[in-house]
Amino acid sequence: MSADDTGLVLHDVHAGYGGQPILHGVSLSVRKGERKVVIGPNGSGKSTLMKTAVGLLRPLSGQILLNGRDVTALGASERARRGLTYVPQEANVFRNMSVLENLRIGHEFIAPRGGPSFEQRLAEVLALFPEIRPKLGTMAGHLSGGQRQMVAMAAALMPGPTVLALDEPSAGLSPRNAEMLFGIIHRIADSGVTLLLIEQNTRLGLGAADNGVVLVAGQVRLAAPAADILADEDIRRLYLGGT
Amino acid sequence: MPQLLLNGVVTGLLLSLPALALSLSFGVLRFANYAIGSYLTCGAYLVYLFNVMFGWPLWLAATFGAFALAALVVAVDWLAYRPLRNRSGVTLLVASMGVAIALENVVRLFAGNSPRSFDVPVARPLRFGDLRLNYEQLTILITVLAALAVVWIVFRLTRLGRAMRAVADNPDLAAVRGISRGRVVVSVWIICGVLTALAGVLVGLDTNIEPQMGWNYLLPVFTAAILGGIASPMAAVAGALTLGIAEELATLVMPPHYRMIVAFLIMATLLLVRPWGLFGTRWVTR
Repeated sequence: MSADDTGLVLHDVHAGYGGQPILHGVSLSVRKGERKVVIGPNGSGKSTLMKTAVGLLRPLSGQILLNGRDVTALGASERARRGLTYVPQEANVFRNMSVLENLRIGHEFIAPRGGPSFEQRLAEVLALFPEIRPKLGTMAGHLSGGQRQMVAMAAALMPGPTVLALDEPSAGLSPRNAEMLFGIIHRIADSGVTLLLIEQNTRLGLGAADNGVVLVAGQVRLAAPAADILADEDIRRLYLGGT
Repeated sequence: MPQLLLNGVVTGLLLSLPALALSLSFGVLRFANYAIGSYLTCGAYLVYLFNVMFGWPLWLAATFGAFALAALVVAVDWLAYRPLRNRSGVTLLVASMGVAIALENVVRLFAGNSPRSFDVPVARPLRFGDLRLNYEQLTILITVLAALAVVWIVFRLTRLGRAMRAVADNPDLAAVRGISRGRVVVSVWIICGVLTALAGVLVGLDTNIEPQMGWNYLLPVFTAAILGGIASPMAAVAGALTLGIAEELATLVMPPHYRMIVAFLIMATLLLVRPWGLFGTRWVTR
């Protein structure tokens, strides 16, 4: 694999809190344009994996590469400037600011100088999320859960990232809203952005991905095409509680 | 009565600068900076130094004093607050009490205890019918309104303002969105320093300069900030005006030196009834 088509690579990453490891040597790679989903039971270390990947948590050991460059020592905002943006699971919008301001902040501190202007990106992102156009003046804290997720994703897409990391986008949403949101995630992926997704809802998560990784107790138990994992009764029963 | 209202507005405006500074730093750093009173004192003395010792005109002295205080405030942050950044608000509050005591005594060490005043010409008050407005009040009116306008523009319309509001709203998300918290914190302290130094000058003009001056303003400033809703800076200004007018009107029914009671009463009632402030909306946290 040449450096050019690797989006995000984690190599033998150990990470945790207060010196207690939760991830025990996780390796995974997301190719450019790939949609990869990490699934696993509660407490398997999915969120820790996500935080380590985006730079909110320093790994205890291991290496993280973004577009072929070593970014292990960089924090979240530096990684964002290099093209990896992130939508946290909770509290993922600025609640006391308008939707438009949320989108502006998504762009103005990360987007490369000389890149597309805010207006240009706004038009492109609103084309992906026509649902939020009428809400631009609304305070983000007054939106419904599904709308907030959309605003959060739109804000993360504003700087034009190469890799978008989504932490449990369906969390706290009604089944209908979750379905709708995954429809939008398909749209985002089709626009060419590389996706790293963490999801508890295995059916939705695997349905949106090319490849899946099953994480159990901080280790990768299985990496396979999403359709295979979805089709394999045993895997689902063994690792994912049969859902 | 109109005279009392006018005096109340001026008192309120005087309070609004430190109240705004308090509320800004609370929003971004999530602790109540008890040292705000001693910042005000230091600001007044720094300006006094430039004005009286160096013989500069007051506006020039105030400009230099404001930036000197801003530098001092940033230095205090480095020395005292930064090492405690991830501790609870109470730890930082106690640290700021220490800072307050230290700064006040540094002032006493260099300047002594006796009251001083700025080198400004004495002038007759202006009269509008029955209303009397003296030059100090006019200076307060103009300076504060100008400062408030500048802060409002920075806060609402600039990149820095958006960064400040973003960090106040959700520091973790702000970091993910590429906003450097450290830089926002420094900017907030600079704005706080400038605002409190200006307040120090205006208080010094209104009464006189002495090491206790900031201390005397501490309670009303906290009351004003809480009255407005401590997390919403512009509402702190409305809180300050309300408190100023309430204090002046109270002199109709009680002797003027009991004014402080009004601040206490309002603060106590407010904390019981509307802890998120009179004008502040409930901060959306869900």
